[in-house]
Amino acid sequence: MTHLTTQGNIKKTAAEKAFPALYDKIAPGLPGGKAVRRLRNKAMEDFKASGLPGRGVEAWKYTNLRQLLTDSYPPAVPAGGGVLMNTDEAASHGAFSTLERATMVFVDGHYRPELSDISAIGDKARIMTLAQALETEDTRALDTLVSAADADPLINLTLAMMRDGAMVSIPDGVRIKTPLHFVHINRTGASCANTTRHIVHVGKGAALKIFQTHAGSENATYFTNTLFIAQIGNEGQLTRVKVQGDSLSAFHFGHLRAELGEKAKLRDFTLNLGGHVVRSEVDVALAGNAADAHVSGAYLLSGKQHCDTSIMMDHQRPGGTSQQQFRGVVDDGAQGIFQGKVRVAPDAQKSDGRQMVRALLLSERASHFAKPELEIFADDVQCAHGATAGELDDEALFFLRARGIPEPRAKALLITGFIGEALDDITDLDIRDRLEELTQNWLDRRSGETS
Amino acid sequence: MKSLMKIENLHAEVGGKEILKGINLNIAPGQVHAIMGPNGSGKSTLSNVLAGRDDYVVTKGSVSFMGENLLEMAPEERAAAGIFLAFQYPLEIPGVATMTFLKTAINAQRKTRGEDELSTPAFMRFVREKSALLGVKDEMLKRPLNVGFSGGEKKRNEILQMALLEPAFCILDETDSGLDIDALKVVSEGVNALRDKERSMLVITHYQRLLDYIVPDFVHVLSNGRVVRSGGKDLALELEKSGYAEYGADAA
Amino acid sequence: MTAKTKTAEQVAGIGVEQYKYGFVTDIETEKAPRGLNEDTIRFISAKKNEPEWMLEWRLDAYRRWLTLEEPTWAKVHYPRIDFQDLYYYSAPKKKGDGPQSLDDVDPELLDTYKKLGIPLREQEILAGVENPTMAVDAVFDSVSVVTTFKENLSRAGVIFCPISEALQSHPELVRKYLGTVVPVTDNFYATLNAAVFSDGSFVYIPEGVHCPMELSTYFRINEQNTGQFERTLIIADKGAYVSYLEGCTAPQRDENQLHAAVVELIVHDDAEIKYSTVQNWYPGDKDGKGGIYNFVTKRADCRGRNSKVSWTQVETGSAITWKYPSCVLRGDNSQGEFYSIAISNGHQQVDSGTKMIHLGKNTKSRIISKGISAGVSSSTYRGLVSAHRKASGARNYTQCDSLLIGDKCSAHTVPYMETRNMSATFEHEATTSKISDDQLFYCRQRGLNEEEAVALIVNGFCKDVLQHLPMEFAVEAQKLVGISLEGSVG
Repeated sequence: MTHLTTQGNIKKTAAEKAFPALYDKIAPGLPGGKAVRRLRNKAMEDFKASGLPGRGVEAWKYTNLRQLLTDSYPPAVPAGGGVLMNTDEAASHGAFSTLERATMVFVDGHYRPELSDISAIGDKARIMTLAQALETEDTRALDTLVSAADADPLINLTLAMMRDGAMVSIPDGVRIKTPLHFVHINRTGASCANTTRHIVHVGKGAALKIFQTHAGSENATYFTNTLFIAQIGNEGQLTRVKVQGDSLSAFHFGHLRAELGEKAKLRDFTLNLGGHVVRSEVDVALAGNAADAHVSGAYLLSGKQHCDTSIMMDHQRPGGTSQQQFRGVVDDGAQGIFQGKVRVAPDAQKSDGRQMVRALLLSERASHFAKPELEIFADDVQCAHGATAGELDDEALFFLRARGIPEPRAKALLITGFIGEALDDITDLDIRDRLEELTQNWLDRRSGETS
Repeated sequence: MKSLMKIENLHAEVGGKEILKGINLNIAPGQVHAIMGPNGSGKSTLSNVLAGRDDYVVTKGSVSFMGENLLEMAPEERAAAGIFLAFQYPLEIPGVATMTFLKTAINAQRKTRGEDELSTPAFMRFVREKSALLGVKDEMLKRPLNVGFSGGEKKRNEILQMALLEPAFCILDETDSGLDIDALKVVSEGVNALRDKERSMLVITHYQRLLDYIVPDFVHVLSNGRVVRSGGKDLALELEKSGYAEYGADAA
Repeated sequence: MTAKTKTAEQVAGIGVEQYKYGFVTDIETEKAPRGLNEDTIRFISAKKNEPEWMLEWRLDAYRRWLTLEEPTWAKVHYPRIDFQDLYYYSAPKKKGDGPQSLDDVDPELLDTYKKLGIPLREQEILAGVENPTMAVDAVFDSVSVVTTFKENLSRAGVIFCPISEALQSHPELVRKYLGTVVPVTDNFYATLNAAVFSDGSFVYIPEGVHCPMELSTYFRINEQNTGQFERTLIIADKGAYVSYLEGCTAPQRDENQLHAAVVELIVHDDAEIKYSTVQNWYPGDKDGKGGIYNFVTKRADCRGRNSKVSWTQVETGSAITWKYPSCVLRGDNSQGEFYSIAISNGHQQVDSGTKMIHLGKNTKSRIISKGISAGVSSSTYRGLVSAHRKASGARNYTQCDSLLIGDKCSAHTVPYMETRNMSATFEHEATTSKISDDQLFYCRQRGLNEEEAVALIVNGFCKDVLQHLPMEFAVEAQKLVGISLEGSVG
């Protein structure tokens, strides 16, 4: 609502005008009947009223989209003839391609069944695409969409313009071993916008592991906006590992909104490597007693990247535990941002909320902004946060060099160790290896450039 | 027999669950009584009820202390009247120097009893004298209360407080837990030094080991909230051999 | 009933009722007409016999203020203030004109300060001690009534006087520095203050002088419906040192009263200012009726190399506190410190913290903040630490801890850390917890009653800050911590 009051009278930017225009153009072709259309229209009206978050919107303090989003975005070109991509090629665009998994591939925001393979999960879960669900007016999908209506302009855009996504439902008690991989590929060279929504229900006592990767053609400019809605039933568990490796000219908006039932567990890790302007958001509602959420991640930034990680951990019920563990490495003229909030509601006694963010600055032009926040309305709680920013430890560097390790290698070693602290929650060694490899690639590229 | 503390048919519950189911004990001045029993038999509940902890609700029975109704008194009134509980897990209070805490406690009790507060020099002399006996160093007194203390230091600090507050009735709640043999000796010596013909003690322990050092006059076995057997110090040795099996250790 | 709820109730019920300074002084006053317009400002300026440039400065600020909106970002809630319903100037009637000597001061006023524990008659102070250690400027509503030991201080070259007097005696100094740290345009309340400020203290410590006494100002709001807008300006020239203290109280009244002060500190090369505040404005009653709105802008400009500023505050009063004593660390190697205890009880709302702006090389800052909330109060720490591009080697350490007593209060921590220099090192830690039932029981088992136990534990919690206060203040503050939270002791 704050968006409305602070920006009501401000002149619209080009992007603010472009989105509604784009919507008018593409709306007839978007999936869903009248009910869906009403939702879309309402969301677009809300967006028009609020505009993009700009100065004075506290939640977007360090990411002023009115300034950062200067261009307008034509729609994603519908997938059609001339696709030169095969399954292997699609797979190679996502990390984790060497691991056993089921895949759902989205190219420029469209689901591509011929590139996807969900046979490893088979009929243990109910899987369909959002487009299918919208066409059939699947009531569950609609309910979830309505409940996710929001004041956030970016979320309103996902609701108005969503084209596709995954709809996954894991029945009570079913624990799926094979990870399900959402592969997002942006292939088009010309600028385009794609909007996806994933809706994942994990039933009572059920378990699911998800990989989510984003990749794009090198230097392609595009706009990608994804909302992932997760509902985890009592004692259910969801693990998500996301690797964002979009083009360095891309605008990436990725939002996970998770609601946890009693004793439900969420383990979430995000590695942000790509994107020109990135907003990586995770909202967790610990809505059941003794829910447990660990949200962690790392961002490795160079060039002129702008990457904003914003976390909201909302302890709504008693006995919840939460942890946030983030590491940022910022090189060149890049900007890293971490905003993390732990909120404890009046009734949420015995909550335990921890948060740690550490940033490493590798260049004189690099910046890092942190806003770790506690908002506590209950007295019987243990909450703590810590934040640090600084450069590589000179003494440690000297020590390694004195042992004969060349400087670039020594730096890489220290940075790997630094990032490693955020990987502690990833117990699956194969996944951890992949993430370390990606980190290593980033470091190799960096030392390749500097040497 | 002259009685210092008389516990009659004491029933108590915690969180709606009855833990003590009719305890009877009569302790005369100068006597040391040991309470032994398996885990969950109600040993620590008894010490907390006697010290007046909230959430421990007495549902039936009585406790008289020096002829007064102990159960009607607030914890601090019991302390001033002479009840001292040596905690199994002494609490840490950051920022409050041990010395400051000791002075505050002593003077609070003196005030409640209508006595003058101790002057700072008199207090310092008093503390130095007692702490030397227990091997408590000055440096430890300057540190915040129990913060960063080892297990042994915490227990020694408890006994130091006992020596300073000169209570009429001491409850030692599993004082031996977490102590190695050397620390146990030091602590026991401290306790024994405080034994006299007026001061009574209730020594609560799971193991007989402590009673080698603090030799009791009577031993009671607590099981499932009741005293199931009483005897002399030899009873402890017997328990050491046979264990608690016959006293429903599994009931815990 | 558990110990926790009982303590919380006692604390909530009695804390704010214990306000000891709630009496009213019955004295004849002279006021500006109610409301705010250019005439009000001309009235104030004329009363102070100010130079023309000062009047213009005020009028500029007023015109600017008319274009501003009240800030709403703080976590505080209060009904809209009707700025036309206030008196902007109120002063005890003087017996004639000219500078006042102590003999001219209404004995009623001297007695007021005596009741507050601040003796103003020098012979009384001297009768008590061999060497006076503190000089006092007593500000009553809109004017300074007396400043003690001015003679002793002027022998050392120190200027310590009401700012209205400094405008007469040292206009060049005032003009040189006024508004250079907190510009007229700074924020809504600071701009209002610039337009209507009536009095406050002025301090100038010349080059190389270590001020021989602690300087202090004692602020008292007495009159009904009167805002107090004091302005304090302290300059420590090269190599100078001063320790300055301020205390604040107000009568118990049903209406809310506005206090919007501005404090500017200027610190030159190798100089140091230590600024301590014990803020005990009337907090309102147990239902949240009445109390002071304390909207204050305090900022230090560490202009010189190796300059140093240390803010220490104990905030126990006021219905609403909105203040962020800050340091602009401009000079290389300059240092800023902020030590704060904020206690909120009853319906009090506190939104306070600091800003440490690192501009120079190798600048250092340190923030220790302890917030205690009880009753239905809310307490927010809001702080900014930033290192600009050129602030190589900047260092900051921040620790902010919150303690909650009772389950109706709230505590928030909103820090901002902005690093634009790779060699800057920032560390921030924060915790929120409550006094545990176990700690309370332990203390009670050793003979302390609940209120004593709470006071002991809270004082322990605040120790890192209390030890930075000058001795006399530390003792007072420690007692205040107790009074603000305790029930009926003894």
